[in-house]
Amino acid sequence: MNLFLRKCMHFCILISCFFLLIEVILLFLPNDISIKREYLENHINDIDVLFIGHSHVENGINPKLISKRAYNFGSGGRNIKYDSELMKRYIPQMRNLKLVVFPIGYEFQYLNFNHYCLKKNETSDLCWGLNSTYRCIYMKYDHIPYDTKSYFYWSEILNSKLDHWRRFIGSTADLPKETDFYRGWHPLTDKNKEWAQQQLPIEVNIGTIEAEAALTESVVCLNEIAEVCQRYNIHLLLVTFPCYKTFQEHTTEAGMKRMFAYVESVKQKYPNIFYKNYMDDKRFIADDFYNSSHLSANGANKFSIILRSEILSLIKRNR
Amino acid sequence: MLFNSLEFLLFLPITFLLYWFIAKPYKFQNLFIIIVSYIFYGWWNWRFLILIAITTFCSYLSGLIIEAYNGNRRKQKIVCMANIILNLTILAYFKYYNFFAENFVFIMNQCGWHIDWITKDILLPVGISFYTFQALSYTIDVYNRKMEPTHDIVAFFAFISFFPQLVAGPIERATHLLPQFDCSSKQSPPIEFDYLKSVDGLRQILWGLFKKIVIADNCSTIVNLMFSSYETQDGTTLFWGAVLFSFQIYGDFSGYSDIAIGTAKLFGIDLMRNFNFPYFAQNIADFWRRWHISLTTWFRDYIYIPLGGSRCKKWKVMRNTLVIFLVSGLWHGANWTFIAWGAYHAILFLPLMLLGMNTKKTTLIAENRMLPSLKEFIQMCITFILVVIGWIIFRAENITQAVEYIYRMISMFQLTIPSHGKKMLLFITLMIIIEWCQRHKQHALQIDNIGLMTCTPIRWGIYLCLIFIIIGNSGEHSDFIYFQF
Repeated sequence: MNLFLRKCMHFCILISCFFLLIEVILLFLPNDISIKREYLENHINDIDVLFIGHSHVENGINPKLISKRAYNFGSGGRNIKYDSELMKRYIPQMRNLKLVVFPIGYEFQYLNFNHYCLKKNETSDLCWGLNSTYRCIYMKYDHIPYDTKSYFYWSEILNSKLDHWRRFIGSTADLPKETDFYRGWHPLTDKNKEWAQQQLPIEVNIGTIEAEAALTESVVCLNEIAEVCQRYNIHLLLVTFPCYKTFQEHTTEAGMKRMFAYVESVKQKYPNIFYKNYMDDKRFIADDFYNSSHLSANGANKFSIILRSEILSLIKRNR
Repeated sequence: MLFNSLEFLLFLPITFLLYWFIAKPYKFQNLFIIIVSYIFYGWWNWRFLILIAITTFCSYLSGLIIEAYNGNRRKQKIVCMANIILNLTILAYFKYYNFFAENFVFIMNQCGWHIDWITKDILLPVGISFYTFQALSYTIDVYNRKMEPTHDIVAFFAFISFFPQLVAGPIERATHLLPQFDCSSKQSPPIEFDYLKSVDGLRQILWGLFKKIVIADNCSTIVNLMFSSYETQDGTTLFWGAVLFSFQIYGDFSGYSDIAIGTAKLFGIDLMRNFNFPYFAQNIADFWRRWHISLTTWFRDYIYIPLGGSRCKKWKVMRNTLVIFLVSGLWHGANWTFIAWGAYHAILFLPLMLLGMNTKKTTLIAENRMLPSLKEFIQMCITFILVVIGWIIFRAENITQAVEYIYRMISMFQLTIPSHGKKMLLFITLMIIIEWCQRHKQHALQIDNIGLMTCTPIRWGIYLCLIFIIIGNSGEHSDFIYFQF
């Protein structure tokens, strides 16, 4: 037994060193997040229209169809708290920036940073919050040490739960080229049969302490984004992205009203904010969706063309 | 708790150390096994622990009652049957109720009666088929006087709930596993720590993780895409999708078995072998001697032989074989696709049996040779393709989808390179080469006595490489397929 334990210990030490080495190597390997950030930093004075937000933006906007200097800085799973931190960091440096486009949809109520259980009697697994993988990657590659327990989320190997780590190796080779070609847009193709039932909204029990706390968290961050935009005389366009009918069927009237009320209150407070709602836009058909809440590549192109006229008029106004 | 989760990565070493250092007196080790096994299972859903407890207690009690009725064969039979019926009723309710209810509703709807209310929303307890069959084997063996009933209730609970094989097998026999727990048994000495066995266990766990995380999980992403969009794919791509599913299910299930057997070795327990490199089989009968061995032999011993086995008239032998395959299909799940899959294998198996070829090919393939002969290779390829077609039926959501998939795969076949899963070809080839070279061993990582591998740094280097591949190429984190059975 002693020999077995001793050998196990030696092997564990070896593995620990090996993992540490991998963690260090990973720090220097480019990945989706770091490449996007570096692209933004390298073109900080060129960009005039900046799209930020989560996957709805990343997959749903083709910046090339909007302006020669538009950039899609959206990133899957990125929380509004991180968006707010990024805006506070980059907007003061972006001399030619005229407009920031930010998504605001039904998920605004529940995509929160902390684990708030928005539905009664749910187990912790079903509580909505930012998972450790995203905490880890945004902290490391967007350099946002927001988390109070940042040391806890430092290790990519541990926080990716052995299944998300692949993305840091698997998709790096083509990324620099891709970023230049698509300018941050990640088009979605090859949807599967159950697409209409995927990425549906969750049920929010309005009025519970958790649900209110989650919304308050989002509103505070949205105010921060609006504040920094106003300070630097930049328009902020809030956009509700098109959603498929299955998504709309799962939203509640009270939830939608609550979201619109908050948008309206922020709009009242900041004159530089504009809002467009395309949630139920009939121009979008089934082929335009990848799943219930994400646009397909075709849908993204269509939406970008629709959004273009709105954006150009706002830029003109801001000259 | 999943074997490929961080929870298990912590659970296993803690359990191992407590087992050998704290729970050292023999009796406490079994008690400890029960506690950790119930924690392991309860991690998923603690409410279903009561089902395991009922199954275990009733089977234990039936053994004692059968012993008490010694000399009265009729009463013994009643007790044995009562326990079988009880266990099968629980299994049927949780696993098959809705299947039969839905089919009944369908037939009634055809006749104009609407009785949709009889279907229920029933959650299937993980691994129910596995532990139920294990419990049944005990009662039947005691009734058939193949073993003495145990009086040690703790050992019996440990035998049924032993966590490595609780949720997805191997389905152990009481005659093999119970004596290892039973301290009153004369057949087996008390469990002692065995260095070589433990090291071998760790190696087997590593190989199991490779098969599950690298092979099965990566294949699953592509397979799901193929099966959900088969109407738009060409024949080659569909064939590739079916091949990938064959490796997915093999990696998933044999990977689980390897981790289970390896984990059991760490606790000084030997579990039976469940897979013997099935894709190297030279015909369907050979395949069934190598695939899910614990289930195949269970059906052979407890259904096929009691029905008369092969020592009866030819038509009865054919009937028995058909029954075995259909029951085997139904065991896998409450869906017509599984029954069709069983029937498909029966159709492939029966001609071999009629020609007396089902017992051939029992020796090691290409024995004392590095490569198979051309004939052996062709036989392996044909068997593999037949098995792949069977897996399409198994994987499809319904019979219509299976037929359409196969029809499209054949009618639209053209020699092109599939657009998905090229990386998988590399890993699958790696796995096949390693398993081919190690086909005469219990598992592919028994490498400590091969040439340069006797050198510890080289061996450790190989383990590190495997760990690196596992972590760097892990696919979508998914449950083990066989949990649902």
